[in-house]
Amino acid sequence: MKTTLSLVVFTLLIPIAASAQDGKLNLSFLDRLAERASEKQEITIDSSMLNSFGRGLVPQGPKGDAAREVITQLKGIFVRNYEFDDSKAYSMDDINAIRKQLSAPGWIRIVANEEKKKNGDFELQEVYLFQPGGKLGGIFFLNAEPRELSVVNIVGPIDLAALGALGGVLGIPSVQGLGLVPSPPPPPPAPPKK
Amino acid sequence: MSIDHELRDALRRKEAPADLSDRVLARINTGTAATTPRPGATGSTALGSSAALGSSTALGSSTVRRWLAAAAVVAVAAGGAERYYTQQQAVEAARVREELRVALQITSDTLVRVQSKLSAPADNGSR
Repeated sequence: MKTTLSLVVFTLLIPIAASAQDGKLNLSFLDRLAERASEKQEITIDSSMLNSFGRGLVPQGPKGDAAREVITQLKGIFVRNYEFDDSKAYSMDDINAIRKQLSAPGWIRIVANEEKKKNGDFELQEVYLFQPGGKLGGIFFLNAEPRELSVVNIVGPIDLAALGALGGVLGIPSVQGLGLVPSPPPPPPAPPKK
Repeated sequence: MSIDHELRDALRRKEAPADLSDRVLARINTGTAATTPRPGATGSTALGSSAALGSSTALGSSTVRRWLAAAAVVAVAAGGAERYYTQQQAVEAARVREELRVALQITSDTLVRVQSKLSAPADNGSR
């Protein structure tokens, strides 16, 4: 009986492990949270969409060229953002279903911040990089707050610096500081006035 | 002359030419009536027109005309389909662009939250 159960669990975990192999996480565990959310944004941009429209997504120009280079190499962008009226709308168990996939080989946690409050509320911020064999294959952001949950999974050769290249191109402000995204070099000092 | 007289003259019975039946039979037998106009005739008769449709030359041009019409329909349809496809592609590209913008906006917001959470203890400590 135990063997059968183990086989069933193993079989069920194969697709999850397989999807985690290429830096793409299975976010379907969050579908049940969507029903409880007062506001939600669920965005799935897969490789075929990026291949078809990637080059035309960003305007021309030096910054646009850099952003286009990043975008065309991506294999997918998957975003789930939920806002809730109730601070207990979801639990740590809900997001642990996602986090379990991040224990697969290749995923490295580079940022973690967890706070537990006396009333049972919790906050969790995490950033993971997918680097199988030292080669970048994806990135994952998690921001869990009592009334809000944001999950971002970008698949492809992207790191925080490359992500910064997308800032300011599509109306997105640049994200810099704290070493997460390297700040641009300071402008050269003005020549002294004579 | 009143119109009654003109009408009566126009509708007055006229005897058919003596060789009419021979000519008709000859046309039917040869099947090339359209190419051998009746002597003195300036336009094609009803019989001549129907015979022309049956002739090989007329049949050929009719077939060509049909093919040309079909080709025109196909060309118009293909052009319309291409235009529709291009429009759909433009709509889809705009949708993907908007989705990408929102996705990157959420990513940016998430990163800002992470940064603010990480910097909060350091800020408190420095105060």
